[in-house]
Amino acid sequence: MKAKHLVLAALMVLTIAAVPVFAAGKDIIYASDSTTKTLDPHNTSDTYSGAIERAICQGLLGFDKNMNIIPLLAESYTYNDSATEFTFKLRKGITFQDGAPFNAKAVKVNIDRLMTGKYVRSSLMDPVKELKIIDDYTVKFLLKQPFGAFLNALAHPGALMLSPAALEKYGDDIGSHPVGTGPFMFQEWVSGSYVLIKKNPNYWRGTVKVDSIKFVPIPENGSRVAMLRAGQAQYIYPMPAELLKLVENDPNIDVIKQPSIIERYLIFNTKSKVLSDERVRQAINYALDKKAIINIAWGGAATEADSVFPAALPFFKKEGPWPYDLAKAKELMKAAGYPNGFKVVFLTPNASARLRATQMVQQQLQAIGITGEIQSMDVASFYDMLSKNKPDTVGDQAFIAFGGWSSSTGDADWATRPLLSTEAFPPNMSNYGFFEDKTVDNLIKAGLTSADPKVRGTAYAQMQDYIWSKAPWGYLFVDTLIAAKAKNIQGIYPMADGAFTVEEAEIVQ
Amino acid sequence: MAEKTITPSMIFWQKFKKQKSAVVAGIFILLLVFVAIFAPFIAPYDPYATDYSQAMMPPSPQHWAGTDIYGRDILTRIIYGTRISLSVGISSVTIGAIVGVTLGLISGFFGGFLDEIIMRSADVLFAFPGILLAIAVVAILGPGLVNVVAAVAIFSIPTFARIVRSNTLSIKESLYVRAARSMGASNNRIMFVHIMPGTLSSSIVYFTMRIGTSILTASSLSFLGLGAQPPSPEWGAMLAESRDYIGVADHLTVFPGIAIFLTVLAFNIFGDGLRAAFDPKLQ
Repeated sequence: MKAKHLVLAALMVLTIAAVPVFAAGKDIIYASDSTTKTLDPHNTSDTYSGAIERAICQGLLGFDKNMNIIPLLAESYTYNDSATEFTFKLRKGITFQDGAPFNAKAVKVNIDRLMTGKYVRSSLMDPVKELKIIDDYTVKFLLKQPFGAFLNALAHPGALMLSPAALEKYGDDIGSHPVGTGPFMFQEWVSGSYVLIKKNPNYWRGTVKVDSIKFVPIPENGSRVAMLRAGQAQYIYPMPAELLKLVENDPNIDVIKQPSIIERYLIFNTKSKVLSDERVRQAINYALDKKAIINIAWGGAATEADSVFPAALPFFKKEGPWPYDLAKAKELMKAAGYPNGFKVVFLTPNASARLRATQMVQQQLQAIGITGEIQSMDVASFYDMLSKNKPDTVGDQAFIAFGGWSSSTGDADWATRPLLSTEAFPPNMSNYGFFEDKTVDNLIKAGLTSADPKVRGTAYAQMQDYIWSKAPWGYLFVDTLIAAKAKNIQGIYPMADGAFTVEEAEIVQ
Repeated sequence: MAEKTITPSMIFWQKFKKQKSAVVAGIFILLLVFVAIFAPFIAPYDPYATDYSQAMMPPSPQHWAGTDIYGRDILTRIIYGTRISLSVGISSVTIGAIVGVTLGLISGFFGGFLDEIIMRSADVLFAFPGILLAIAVVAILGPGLVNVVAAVAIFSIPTFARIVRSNTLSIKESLYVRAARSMGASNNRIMFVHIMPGTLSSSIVYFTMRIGTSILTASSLSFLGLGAQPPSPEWGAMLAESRDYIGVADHLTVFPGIAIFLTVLAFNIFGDGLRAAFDPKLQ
């Protein structure tokens, strides 16, 4: 009996003692719809894993929360006019989390690793011929040919710097033991369950204000919102737009909205007879009620597309939005010889918002006689199917597919070249509609021949003017990112590409 | 005093009448059939007509069950959905029953090697949970309602085969079958004319209950995006379409959910009633 009481008393003391410990801890739980695939930045293809890597590692350059390029581990940089040589002065006195010094040698180890061509993000270093060490804190990239978007390649999460000591110790297993120079240190990754990062006490940019952040995958929209409302998560992304009503009036929850660089559009199979006609493609653009699609299918969380790439990217030129004008659409269909329309197939991933949007496209195109069945499938099968098409046979099936793209380098080149150039025909890249136009190819090249923003700006302005009216796509909208957080959390920002930054995270009372 | 003849169907009716809930379920099923057949005359709107300005309206005198995200009338879509659900349920079970009963008769009547093959194949099918087997079949054939019918039919076959086989085994030893054989009746005649009617009562019970299960399976497959494709007003597809709005616009999911629930329940209760009425041991 006595022993029992003692145990009980001990338990009570423990419980009481434990409470202040938890209350004093500055720990944040970040719930997302995505799962971590790897933590090796050089081998990462998804935005979510890349964003966690950014909390642990840093690159020579980085993005601020508005996707502007800022120097990070590099102090300054210079480049020549023809965009073939880029020199970086490195910041001194920085050490990796395992104590290894950050210097020119460390940069070389990382870039050389990328240049082996073995990793998913090796392509970022494709333009590079050689990396020269000038002195301990100066490196120079020599490129094979002019590549004006090279700074963006270095700001990309794929070019983050890992500790050379850790790379030697873990080899390609670095993906489960990342070590960088960032504000947080990797602590634990339980596959499929969570990734835990801990504050870096020696961070070179100053004191980190929270103790740890736990990244938890919660794929089901409703559960994520429920966790935030119940206080089991402090930050959720994405906040489903359909459920905004549930949190908007909650005094403990803030909703954050941020324009993105994710553009949504309809991919027209331009090799099919009906959709090869520019007038037909324009007619479809006139027949789409973009506002309705945004409000109903996307819960209002988007703005109408007004160019081939989103306004948050550099060199954007406003062209639209494309007006909703059924009379004009019918006129163009008649001029193209299809007054009664034709049949197509609508392809879409079965993710619910995209399926809704495709359904609305199907509903709206009936007005100009374009009808057809919807084929929906999981995202992987969808892209698998599109990338298996061949240019000489793809024309047999007139399809309209629901597409989307986020330029992960934050540059105009990556928003156009992989989608609309002839070199991007599948399986190489993502020109799934097989749009082929010499002028576009040349303008894309022109945009890369210089790193001078003025020269590039002119090329991209011309390109946007030209492509807009060619209507290779049905222009739809640009996503607005929505996150939701507990009121007392500050300093976590959603980024325009769907990633996030946690460096300034803090818990205020 | 004229003597009253008591036919088996009168006995059946006497017993069935006592099952009050089964009678109600039967009436409900008749109502469903009526609604399905006359859907275009009953439904107040066009099931496919969208009206974005009326999107997600809660139930009102104009729209008894409210409108969905595209402004379509939910009641109308449920009424049209009755057609899809009933026809999928009945056709798939009918196909399954025809194949299953035939296989069961063959298996029980001939025995031996044929019996082994048929019953072991049935065991293989039994090893899979129904919905899993259906998903596998649809994965092979591709999504779509016709393939869902095939999938549900396939996993109905083994149960019918087993029920009929066991009945066949006992009936084929009965005196009247032996009499028929001694008079030179062919195997086919004995199987289908003399044995099959005797197995029907238990098949009918299973048939009815199976329709409920099939409707549920078909809806589940559509919910998973493997069955009816949008804009079809299939109940499961309607649920799938509106599950993102649970908590914000509950009427989107509640009404199709109730439709599935009541229909499946009705077929099960009706089947139970039939079983009780057919069972000679129950008075």
